[in-house]
Amino acid sequence: MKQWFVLFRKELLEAWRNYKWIWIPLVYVMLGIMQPISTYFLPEILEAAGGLPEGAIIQLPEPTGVEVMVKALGNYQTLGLLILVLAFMGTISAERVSGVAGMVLVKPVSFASYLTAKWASAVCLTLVATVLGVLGTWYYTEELIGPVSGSAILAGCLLFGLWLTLLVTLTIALSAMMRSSGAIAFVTLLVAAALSIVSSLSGTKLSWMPGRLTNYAGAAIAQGGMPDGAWGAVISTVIGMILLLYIAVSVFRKKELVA
Amino acid sequence: MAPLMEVRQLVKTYGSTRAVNGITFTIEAGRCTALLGPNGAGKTTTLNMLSGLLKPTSGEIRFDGATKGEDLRAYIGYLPQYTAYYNWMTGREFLIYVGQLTGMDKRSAVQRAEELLRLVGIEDAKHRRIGGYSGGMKQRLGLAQAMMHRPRLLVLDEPVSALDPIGRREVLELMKRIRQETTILFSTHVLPDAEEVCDDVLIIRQGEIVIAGSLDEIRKSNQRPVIELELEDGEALADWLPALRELAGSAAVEQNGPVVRFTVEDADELPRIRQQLMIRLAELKAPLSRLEIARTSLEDLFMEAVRR
Ligand SMILES: Nc1ncnc2c1ncn2[C@@H]1O[C@H](COP(=O)(O)OP(=O)(O)OP(=O)(O)O)[C@@H](O)[C@H]1O
Ligand SMILES: [Mg+2]
Repeated sequence: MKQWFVLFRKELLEAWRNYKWIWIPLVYVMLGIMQPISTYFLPEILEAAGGLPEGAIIQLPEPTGVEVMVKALGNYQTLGLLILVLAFMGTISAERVSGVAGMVLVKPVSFASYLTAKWASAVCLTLVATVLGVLGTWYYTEELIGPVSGSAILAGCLLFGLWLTLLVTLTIALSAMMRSSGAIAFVTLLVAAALSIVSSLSGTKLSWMPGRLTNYAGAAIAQGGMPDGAWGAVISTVIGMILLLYIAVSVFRKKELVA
Repeated sequence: MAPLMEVRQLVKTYGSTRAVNGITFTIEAGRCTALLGPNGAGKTTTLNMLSGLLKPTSGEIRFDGATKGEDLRAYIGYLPQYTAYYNWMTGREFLIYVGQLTGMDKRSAVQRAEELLRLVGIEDAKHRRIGGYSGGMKQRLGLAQAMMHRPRLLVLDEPVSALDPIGRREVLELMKRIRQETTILFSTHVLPDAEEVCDDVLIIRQGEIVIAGSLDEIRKSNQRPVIELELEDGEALADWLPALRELAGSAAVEQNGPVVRFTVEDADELPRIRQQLMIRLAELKAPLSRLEIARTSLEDLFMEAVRR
């Protein structure tokens, strides 16, 4: 356990020194607050663009705070996810390619600790970025658009954070098993897309699918609390993450650490 | 006393290539052993298996005091042929990190790190990022990180190959000091390095050990007389060579420019060959410029062993 904390602290320090602790939360805050701000200024933006014919009356529906928050989560679902995958795809594979994984694992270090310390550090960063992003967005939404309840934000943040955590876990698990960063990123994004598509095609069935988490997050914000069926998806996601980590450690243990 | 490490029939195959082809040797505690071999002989592959970075295809590695199947990493300190670091760390930070990973508490890790930074001579650079270190400095840091947890066996893969003559000198001196306290196994492809710091050598070629033993013993048991003669006119040598070969008997004859070399396998044959050679040379009126009776050096033995 002492060794695990040594590894974990090194990961936090590394993420701090290469500014991941600055730019990832910053990107999340920007991606989030962009939504209420641009919604608020949309009429001015359209006017400045001058693209409207004389006398045209535009009827912009007045968006609610909830709608804006849900849209903001949509930004995290696309660009936000891409950022995380790019930031973490090399977590283990890059260390293997450079040879520094060999330098560390030739010491009596457990493979499971090595991997889970990296995972825990990435998850911390992901959750902090998500929470800061959501809080920032919430602030601007309340200021500029309209009210959203705190319990809605809490539930939405939890469900969406879990979805991102699952995909970060997948990125790191793949990073332990594959060498090419490109392939790791590609497979992760492909799986994310597949999970979303399957859950949207399956209608009311398979309500426990991890891919449902994003829908549940939106529903949570709309109805101000945990929606029905969300717990099933939460449980299946947690089980999925444990499985992924278990498989990653087993495969990684059998890998040769030198080319 | 049981040997520190016993390696039996170690094999590593890559597809159809047998990088290491069933090697067996032992390492005695307190001794320094050189694994000597040309490029591609299988040195790195062997050392990677000993250090646990590669899994042997078959074979057995036993360590004194370790139970069968136990993780040997705690007992071994390893310097790979190509070192890699976290370039954002400072040299001092890396050593402390490695120390803590091997179970030291912060204070003793700091203390040991400072001690080793001084020993390997990179104290001035200890607060600089490793990314800015020169190759030689990284090599020294590599030596220090291998020794952090006071391993019982220090395994060094070509510790001096990448260094300039001065750095090489310094690291060899350093190894002489380290060997007072720790058993060392290191690989090299040049004999003088081995002769300088080691007691024992394992000469390896194409994944097999061809000569093993203490340097003194090998030197003694493999010394064979050598007759070397040089002619003024190298061109004409071709005419005489068959005649010279004829009287050589069991001795191996080699020609290199104007020089002919007889390596006499059986020392008892030396007087006969010498006498006949001189008679023959006189008959042929060979324009002799040098005739020398010497003994094979370890270098000869090494060259012969790896060339065969
Ligand atoms: N990953 C690998 N895949 C295929 N062949 C390999 C691999 N690693 C090593 N080999 C082969 O095994 C043999 C031994 O290689 P090794 O690196 O152990 O040699 P070496 O003695 O360390 O050489 P050098 O002095 O160049 O470092 C070589 O023929 C090499 O081509
Ligand atoms: Mg090598």
